Amino acid sequence: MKAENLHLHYGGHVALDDVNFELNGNNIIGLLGKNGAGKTSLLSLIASYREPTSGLITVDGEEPFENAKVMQQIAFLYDKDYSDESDKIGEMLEGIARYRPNFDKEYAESLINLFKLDREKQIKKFSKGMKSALNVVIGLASRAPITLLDEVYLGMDAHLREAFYKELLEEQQRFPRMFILSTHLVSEMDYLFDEVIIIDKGTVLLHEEIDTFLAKGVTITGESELVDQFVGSKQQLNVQKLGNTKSVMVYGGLTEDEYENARRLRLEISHASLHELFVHLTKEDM
Amino acid sequence: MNENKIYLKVAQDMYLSQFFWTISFLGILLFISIVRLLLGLQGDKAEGFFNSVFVASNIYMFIIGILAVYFLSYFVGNGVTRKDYFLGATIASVGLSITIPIITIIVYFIEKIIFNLIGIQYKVQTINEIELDGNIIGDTIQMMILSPYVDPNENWLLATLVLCSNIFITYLLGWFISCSFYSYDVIIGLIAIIMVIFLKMIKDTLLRIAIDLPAIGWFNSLDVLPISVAIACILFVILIILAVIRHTTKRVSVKL
Repeated sequence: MKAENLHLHYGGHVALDDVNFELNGNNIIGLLGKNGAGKTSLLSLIASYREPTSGLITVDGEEPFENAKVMQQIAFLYDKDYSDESDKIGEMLEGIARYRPNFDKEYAESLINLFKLDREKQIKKFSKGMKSALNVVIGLASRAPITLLDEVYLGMDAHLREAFYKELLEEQQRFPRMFILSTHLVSEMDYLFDEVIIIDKGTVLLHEEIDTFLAKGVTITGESELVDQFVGSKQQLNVQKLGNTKSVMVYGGLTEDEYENARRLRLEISHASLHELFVHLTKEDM
Repeated sequence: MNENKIYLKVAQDMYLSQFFWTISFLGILLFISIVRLLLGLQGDKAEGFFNSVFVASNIYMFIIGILAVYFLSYFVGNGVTRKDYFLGATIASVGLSITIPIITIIVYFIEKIIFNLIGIQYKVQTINEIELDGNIIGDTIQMMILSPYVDPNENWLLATLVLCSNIFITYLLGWFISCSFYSYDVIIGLIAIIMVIFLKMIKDTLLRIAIDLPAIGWFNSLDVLPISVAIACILFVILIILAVIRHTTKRVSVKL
């Protein structure tokens, strides 16, 4: 999947501004961004819900918009309004299965059991958590080669989310495909991702493999003057001070020599979490 | 799945959904007709099921035509193109516009046998005798609600065909209005409503000419057209409405 110079404007609002990236392979990609950063806009372009104002998005070299072959291969699940949905879950999944060539009904049944969804209840009467779980069931059981999940898990409670994360990883082992999971709650999902894209104010701030990205965020803690001396001109994401002790989060990684130097200066080095990096990279005053 | 055949699945799904609504609609009308008959509310002359459906189905088809646009997000959400949605919805609307008159005429035949047995006659219908008095709102409403009518007692086949064409075009007009509101803004939606009023009047005038009734209303000057030209013009009106619906939904953004 490739996005080239993607712009999306509507109603006088710039939702996406010159977005470029390339995704290859069956990876789980975390699409991170604050509320209103442009995550849903980007996913809706990939899923052909709308056309870009300018620029190009291609999947296997073909534009997805109004392309039956490509659209069938992309499943987009979001926090949908089910308040008018009088069908029960079985009826709804029957309908979806007609249009999803890889839909696995048996797997859908096992997911319904896993998430303890009520088969006899109308979907409009589902709780918020059950509606979220329903979206997860559709997203996983459709087995679309490109599955886009736009914060659908936010309505689930902690136990259900854990069950979903576990199931996602198992499913990725069984039927590897490209998952793009958007979220602004990063801390509990970081271990799922192979790659991350951070989007901010409609532009891609960074796109990296998760290990490469995490290796770049380092926190140096120690005597204030020594820390200042060590950090030098590195990009500082966050600074905390208590008495004469200072802790600075830098972005860009350290060389072997720098690690050695830190040990010599008795500075404590720790890696920043994805959550910390995300929060500080997308801070308003950055 | 063969992606070339997806529109047929869309047609089947939309037809079945709307068919079940339609069964409820016709069932309610039939129930009301039977109750009125049993309670003797109609005396020794009855409206008849066909005539009840003739008036009510126009409004019904207009409403489900309006609802047709809401299938779009469901289908696009399941990886169906807007083109397949359009083709499927069009086929489903044709199917529905044929199904309703067929069910209606079958019930009418059964009803006719029963009426003959119990000595009830059909009321003479005055649907075609629209009186326009120059009041623009009153005239518009009358012409929107009432469509050219053929009495099934005189020619059941023509009556069925006229009912088919009336409800099919009414469905398309409802669909056209909702697509305009969905794809654009309120101003364009309101312009679409005005266009729909004109299109309905033109179609009714052409249909009146086609079934040899005097043309009335704003387009009565079309009366000079031969029947065959009037029929061709009706088909042309249908094509125009379909083309506009396709145009408005071809690249529309689907609301989340």
